[in-house]
Amino acid sequence: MREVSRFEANLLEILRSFLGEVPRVRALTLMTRPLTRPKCLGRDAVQLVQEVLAKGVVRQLARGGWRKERFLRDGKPVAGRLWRRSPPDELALEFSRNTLDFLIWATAQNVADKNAVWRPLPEVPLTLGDRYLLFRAYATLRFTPIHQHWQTSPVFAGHGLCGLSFPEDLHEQSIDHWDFGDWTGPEGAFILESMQRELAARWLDLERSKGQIVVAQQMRALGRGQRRVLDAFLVATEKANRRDLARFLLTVALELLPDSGYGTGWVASLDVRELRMVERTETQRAAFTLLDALRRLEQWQQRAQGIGYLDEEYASAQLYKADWEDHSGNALCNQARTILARWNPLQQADCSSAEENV
Amino acid sequence: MSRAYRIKVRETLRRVIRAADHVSSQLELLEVLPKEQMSEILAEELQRRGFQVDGKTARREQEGVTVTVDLESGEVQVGAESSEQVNVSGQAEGYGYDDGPDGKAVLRQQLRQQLAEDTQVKEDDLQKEVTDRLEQQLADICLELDQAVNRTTAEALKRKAAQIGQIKQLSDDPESGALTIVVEV
Repeated sequence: MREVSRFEANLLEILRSFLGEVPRVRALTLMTRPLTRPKCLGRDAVQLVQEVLAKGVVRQLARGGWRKERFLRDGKPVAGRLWRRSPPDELALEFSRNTLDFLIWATAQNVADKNAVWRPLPEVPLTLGDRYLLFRAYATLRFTPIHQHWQTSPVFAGHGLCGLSFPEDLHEQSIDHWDFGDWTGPEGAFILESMQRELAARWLDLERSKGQIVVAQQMRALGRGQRRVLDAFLVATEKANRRDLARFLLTVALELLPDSGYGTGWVASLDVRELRMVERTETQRAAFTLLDALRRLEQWQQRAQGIGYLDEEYASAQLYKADWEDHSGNALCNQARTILARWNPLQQADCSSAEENV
Repeated sequence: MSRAYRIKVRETLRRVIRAADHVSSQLELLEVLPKEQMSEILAEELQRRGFQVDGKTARREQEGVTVTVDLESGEVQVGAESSEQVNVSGQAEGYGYDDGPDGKAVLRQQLRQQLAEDTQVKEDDLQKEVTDRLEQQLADICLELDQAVNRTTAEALKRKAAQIGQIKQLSDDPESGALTIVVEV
């Protein structure tokens, strides 16, 4: 039987909550009650951390990856569940000393204290596994006092998974460098594959929540965050020839657009009458950030249509075209164009219909 | 024992207030001909409509609203601005005490703050007037730009048709926007 100290038991509880195995309220209590940091962890504790990580991360990935879907492998579509599309060794995540250090820090400190800042160990680069756990920690602790500090922490600035999942957290940050290259590359792309439905649900919630935003500044801030992260993400997916990873955006558009009419749902609660026209259009543009992003996806489709059988990217282009058709991409883009034109003051066919303007 | 004294101050605030507003968009020009030729035809069409063409930009100011078109990119900016010299005066009365803070300075500061607020109100009113002016003219400008784009496309189609073969018949109805070209190849 393995024995752990109180500190180590708390650490394991915190780790489990990050991986969604115990309610976060327990971790929250433990993370705000500082304990004396031990000189080192016991062997049993380290083994248990390894086990919890191994099983917990696999469970997380399996939650999104169990469906039989098609994604690219070496430029060719491969169908099946996540663990069938790639051999096990290509799905392995490595965790460095940073993970243990982070967990020890989270257990020892009152993490809600604004002066409590965790930084990676010097000369120990963060691995994908480390960053995945950091993302899970961030996601677990949103809407808590801890989250307020983490929003501006350098550890999470430029973290692609955090940005893509929670773009509304980014609007005040000016981030020059994102790590999307790692999440869309051969070593990390499977994580984005497993997160497609999670990302689609998140963005669906975000888009639907826009209908309740009253303050124009809040809408502009949200749009800014979305635009920043989408620009970086789409550039990275294109560079990596992994346009299939942007599939969740088509899923969101398919859910939202068909019944959207003229798009008034996005701006239903906004009052822009007292704003200058330039602020009105910026606010409305922010509301329709996702529709704007569809233009890039449409350009990908147009490019895919021009790729011939003998061209290098033929197989990946075929997969993208199939995704596009499955999601009725052309109809979605036409609808998006109609909505964007409707809200552009210089493109409205009947510019005198002021009663429909918010 | 402190003694009270009556204070009267008068202040005038002179300032130039400015207000500006604009909207931007993109003209959607079909590339019937190469970009440079399309820009050229667009420039000609806009000149006919009173725009001043200066290199890669066409610009027109009318009734306080300026329309600027980037002939290369097709970006349109419609803007209005206004400025006004305002003189706001006021006076205030109060009491000071000889053992307290400088009553005159305090009263003067309060009066200046009030005048600044009054100036801000005027600036907000000017801004509203500029925004309303812009909004009122947008419909007409929007229509005119649409017409300019349609005429540009029609002219480009005519030139393209002439390149393909001999034009046998050409009917152009500017009112409905219908253009029929019969070409013998």
